[in-house]
Amino acid sequence: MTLCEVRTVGEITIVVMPLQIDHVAALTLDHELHELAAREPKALFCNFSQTKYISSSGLRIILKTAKTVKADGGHFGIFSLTPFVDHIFTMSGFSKVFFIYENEEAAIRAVLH
Amino acid sequence: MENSNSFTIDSDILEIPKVSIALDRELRVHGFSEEDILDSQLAVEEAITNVIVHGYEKKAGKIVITCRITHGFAEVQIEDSAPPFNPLSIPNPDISVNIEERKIGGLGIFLIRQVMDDIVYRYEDGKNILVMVKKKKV
Repeated sequence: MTLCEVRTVGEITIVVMPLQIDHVAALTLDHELHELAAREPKALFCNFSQTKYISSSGLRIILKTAKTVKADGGHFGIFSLTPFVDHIFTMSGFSKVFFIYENEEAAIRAVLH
Repeated sequence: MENSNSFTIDSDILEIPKVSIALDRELRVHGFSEEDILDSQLAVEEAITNVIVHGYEKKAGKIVITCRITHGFAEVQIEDSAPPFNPLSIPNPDISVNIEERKIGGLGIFLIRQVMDDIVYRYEDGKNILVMVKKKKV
């Protein structure tokens, strides 16, 4: 069974992040995001609407994925951050290095225009 | 001791969720907010992960976690018998750089410093002892 639910809209990949991204979940997440990024989508978005908790292990995987997608010429972004996830992204300075969108519509609109 | 809970886990990352659940229960009973609980779980996970990965280098070992609640403060102590290492000696990562230059890793201790109100390290009787304090938000 996979950790993340994945959807594609044209050449855009949308990945729903799990409820908790602790060190243990991050190991599986690493594997799943690595496979999705390897398909070189035009854009890859992580949907954080379900995620209540993230630790540095999770941040590490998100950064790694963003670098891979960007290196392959794709666009990487995240959307629908819950309060704790937003708090951690802001605190770690990650909110300044990632494209963060309000919701899925805003994320898709950014790539299509 | 009143309002003090102590338990021992193996040096194994699969033990972390167990610690998070116990901490959640303990802090919730004492009226800590959701935000305080998540911050404390984060700090404890980061500290334990460091001990398992860098302290014991993923080899066998024990970690003792003690949680004390007093006058609106939660104090979590993490004790291990790995070689002496002061996690507070790790410099903060540079968080002002762009995505290409941003380093992967080095964030754990930085986050602990951000979310906890106080953090103290000492090496005593062959043990690394890290004490982290979270003040209850009112």
